[in-house]
Amino acid sequence: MTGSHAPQTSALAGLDPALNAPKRLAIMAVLTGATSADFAFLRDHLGVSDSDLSKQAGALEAAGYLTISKSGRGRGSTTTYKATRAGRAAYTRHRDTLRALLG
Amino acid sequence: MSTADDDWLAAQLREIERGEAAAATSWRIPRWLPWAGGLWVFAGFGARVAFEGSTPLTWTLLHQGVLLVYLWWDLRRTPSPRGRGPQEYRVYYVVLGLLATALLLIVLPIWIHVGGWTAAALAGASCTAFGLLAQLTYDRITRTVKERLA
Repeated sequence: MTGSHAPQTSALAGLDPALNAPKRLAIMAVLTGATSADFAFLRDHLGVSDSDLSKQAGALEAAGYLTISKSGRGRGSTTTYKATRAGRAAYTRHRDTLRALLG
Repeated sequence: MSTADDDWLAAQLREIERGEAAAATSWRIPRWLPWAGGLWVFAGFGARVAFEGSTPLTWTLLHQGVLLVYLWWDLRRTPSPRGRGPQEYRVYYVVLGLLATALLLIVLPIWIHVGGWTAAALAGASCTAFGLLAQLTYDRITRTVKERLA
């Protein structure tokens, strides 16, 4: 399921379009529960390819919801993701709206 | 809202619950048993055998330093979320630190002053018990957190 399947009713106006895609929402759910998480952990949790995770994380970074930092070089390099304050706030709003809608 | 909307909302909530549960239950600890086993081996075959004439305490501290570097490397090499973690894990680390300190303050002086195979066996048994206790406690905490989130 992708973000394009999101319902269009006015009751859902509180939902954040950047988080409608389940993979992006799952990334923010993990990052909001931790200070940071690295690439391999998120990829394994989501069950996606490297390129797909990079794409989804890039979209969240463009929205200002997470920061991406890289350390090291070559095979030993690590990519770490961290939710921004705006990202945490957006995720919390989105989650609360969803819960309210489902009662 | 239509049934399709409800399904979409439910799917979104499932992703949220799955993600939050993963963040809360995927905290890793180092593998304590190699550390405990390493100390045990060293206690038996260490300072008094391999380093005859050297100061046992110096070699013990050096050996423990190497093992602590191993623990740090082991913790870093497997991906896991980082941060403060759930309350249960924070309590775990505090208790574990106190227990390790007590172990060091009690067992090490006994080994140095008493010496011999008896002291080595005591150190080995204590450290292995510590490793097992740490591992079992961690597994128990993880089950508790998962149940709390379920």
